[in-house]
Amino acid sequence: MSSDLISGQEILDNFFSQITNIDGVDKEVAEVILKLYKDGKLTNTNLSNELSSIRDRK
Amino acid sequence: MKVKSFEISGLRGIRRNINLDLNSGKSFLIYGDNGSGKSSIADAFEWFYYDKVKHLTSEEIDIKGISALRNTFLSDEEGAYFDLKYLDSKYDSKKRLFLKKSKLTSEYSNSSQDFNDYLSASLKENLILRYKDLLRFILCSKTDKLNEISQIIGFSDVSKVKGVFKKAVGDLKKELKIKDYENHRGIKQRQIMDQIGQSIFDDNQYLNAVSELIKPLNLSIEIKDDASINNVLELLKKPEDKEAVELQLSYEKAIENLSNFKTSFDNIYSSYKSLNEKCQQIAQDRDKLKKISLEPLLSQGFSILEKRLYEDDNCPLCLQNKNREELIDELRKRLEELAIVKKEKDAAIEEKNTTQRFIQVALTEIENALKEKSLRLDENAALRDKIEQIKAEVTTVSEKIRKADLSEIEQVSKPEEFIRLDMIAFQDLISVLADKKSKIITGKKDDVAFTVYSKIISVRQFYDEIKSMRRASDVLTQQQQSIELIYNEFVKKQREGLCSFLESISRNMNDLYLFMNDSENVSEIELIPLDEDDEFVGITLQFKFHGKPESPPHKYLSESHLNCLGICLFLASVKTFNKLNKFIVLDDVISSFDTSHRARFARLLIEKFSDYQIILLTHEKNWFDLISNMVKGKNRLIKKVRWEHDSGSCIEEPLIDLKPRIENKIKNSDSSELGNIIRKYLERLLKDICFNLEVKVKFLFNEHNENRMSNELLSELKGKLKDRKSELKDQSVFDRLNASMFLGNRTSHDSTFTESIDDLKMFYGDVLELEGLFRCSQCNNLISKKCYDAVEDTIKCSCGKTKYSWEK
Repeated sequence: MSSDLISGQEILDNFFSQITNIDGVDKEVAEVILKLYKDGKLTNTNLSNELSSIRDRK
Repeated sequence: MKVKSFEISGLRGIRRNINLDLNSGKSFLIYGDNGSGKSSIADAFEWFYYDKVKHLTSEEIDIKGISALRNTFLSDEEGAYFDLKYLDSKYDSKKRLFLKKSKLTSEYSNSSQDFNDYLSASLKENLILRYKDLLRFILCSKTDKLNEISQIIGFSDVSKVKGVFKKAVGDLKKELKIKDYENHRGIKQRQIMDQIGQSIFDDNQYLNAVSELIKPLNLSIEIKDDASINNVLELLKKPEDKEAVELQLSYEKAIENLSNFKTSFDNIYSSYKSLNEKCQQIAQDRDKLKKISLEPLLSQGFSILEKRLYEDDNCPLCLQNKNREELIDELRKRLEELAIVKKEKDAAIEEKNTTQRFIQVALTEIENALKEKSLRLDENAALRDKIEQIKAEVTTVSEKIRKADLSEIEQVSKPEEFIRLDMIAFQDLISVLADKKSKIITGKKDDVAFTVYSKIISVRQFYDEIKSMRRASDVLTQQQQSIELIYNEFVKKQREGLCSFLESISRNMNDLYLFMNDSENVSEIELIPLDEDDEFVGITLQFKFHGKPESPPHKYLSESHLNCLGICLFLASVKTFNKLNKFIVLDDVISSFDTSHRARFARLLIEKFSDYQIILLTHEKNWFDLISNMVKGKNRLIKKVRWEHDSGSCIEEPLIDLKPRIENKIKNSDSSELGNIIRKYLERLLKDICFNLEVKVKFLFNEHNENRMSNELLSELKGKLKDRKSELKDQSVFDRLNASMFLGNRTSHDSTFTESIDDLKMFYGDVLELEGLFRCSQCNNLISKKCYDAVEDTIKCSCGKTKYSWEK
């Protein structure tokens, strides 16, 4: 693969490494998503449950 | 990664082992007639890297085509293998194919992590192109194009993550709509307004309102916080008042729940209306939903035809005559139509879920109302029954919606028939409850302390609920906005990634295509992503034809140009995707090209892929000769493959390689295969001599011409020498060779005859004697008609030392 092109996996890794720096994004939400991604558990159900859990805590 | 050498045995047409030493990763060009087994080399590479041979896969063979890969003449005990050695020896590995308990099994000799990593990374690289695969990508659907590129660059994972974010955004928006915080806060504000004649939006207003309420009581308590309000309530509290206030609040709560139900009912109605519209849209063509069930069948049929597992010009199901390409086109269109119907169905299912969710929210409101103390009083039994009845009706509707199958559209009623709720009667019911609540207050209207007490309790509860809802709404809104920002950023990154890939491939493909077709009216070939609602739905191949954008390519381009486009796309993807491997296998890819395009393709490989090791297999003799001449002295190996009865496919060795093998065997008195090798040597030598002396033989068509036996050539050569009155005609070696050739021919086929090493030494001696007559010992060249001396009437070698008379 040409060196200036990045693979899908690299796109994901780069994106998630910067997710907490996206302007206007709630830190707690970003961190929860990052953790799910790192644990390989970023699914619809898990994300929905985590967001619901944050709402309950607040 | 380049190939240093390889050895193949027992795979497809190759029965005995063939091996090729590519020195320092040289490119090599192999010519062989149809059926000579050159594609067996491509098959071996495909099996080694992908563990399957796509063109051999079929229901009759097996899913990987492996059972057809093993040479059919091998005994059960014999193994087959592909031994691949690289310039970097740590990746060297031999893949064996053998029978284990009657089951075909394969294994690699290299089990290192490095090799396994290399093998898995190579899976994503494009290494082999065959003629039959040229048009596959060009002609496949836009969705399949996207899927294929996505798979290669690992975009399927990216798409999955995007799907998670997209759903989360949708779910949070829906949650906000269902919770309807704004409406609920409005209700609470109206309730506060009913109590104190004003709204409350912040703590100051709340504290001031309570201060105003207690003024008539002349209490010495300053209202500055919740604690001071609690002090006031403690002071005013009387047991009977507490009970009356609780009942009053219970009525208030029941009224609120029922009012919320009414609001939810509006949402149910509007969501149901939308569901109904979607269902009606589907119902316009009732067969559409039924057609969705055909989707797996059509997809499978499409895949079978595209993979050329079925090549006849008829429908594989009904066997009706139909052009294969037309059938593929028709199936593609039908699948695209079904994709639209499926999308409509998915939207209807989503709306159905939303309707159910609203119904659930409404039911919860009714259930909460029924739990209220006020509605459990005996005096309210009739009201309670009415509410229970409404609950039962809504529950029935909920069940009806849940069970409704969109394929039986008649089960879903029209909106006006959906829930028959008498809104006027329902509002009357709420009014009755409101009256009962008022009566509690009216009964104590002269009791100022009770009035203040009840108002403070009510206002406090409503205001606390408003604050709680505000917090919940803020958190939910913030989550929804955050996920939306994340989603948008993600879509941006995904788009950048895909576009940079497509731009890179397009650029390379365009350059290569124009290199091969510079004076034609095609330009600006591009792979363009297609999207709908932030969703990539496909990739289309667009180009300019006579300066005008056109798509798809098969609309205007000839088969030969489409094939050219296919080759360019493959080569562009090699440049774009291949990170590890610097070699490619091209198996008979130029068959549909005319002479000029063949020459240009040869030039393209030489000029644009000089840093790649190219393994080029062809059955086109003219092209083989052309490219052989073009690459002479350019670090390429040129070989021919032929099929032999005993060995199957084998690589023809040049004389220069055969000679040391013969002499080595003679030196070691090893007679195995020796007669056969000497025969090959003699055949090649006679062909060269006859070519140089322009010996005419009986006309034969192309491939048969190459298969002339030595005795035919020897006989015609003798005839020519006699004709030209050359002194060579009387050489006794010709007669001796005629007899000796028996040895070479006997050992090349199954025979009980056993030749001795001395017989073979004598045979080889005769061959060398023949060669000595025609090859000059000084310049090492054969005498040739090109060096005919018309003055002397002699024929010479290039240096002139060896010469014989040659009369006209």
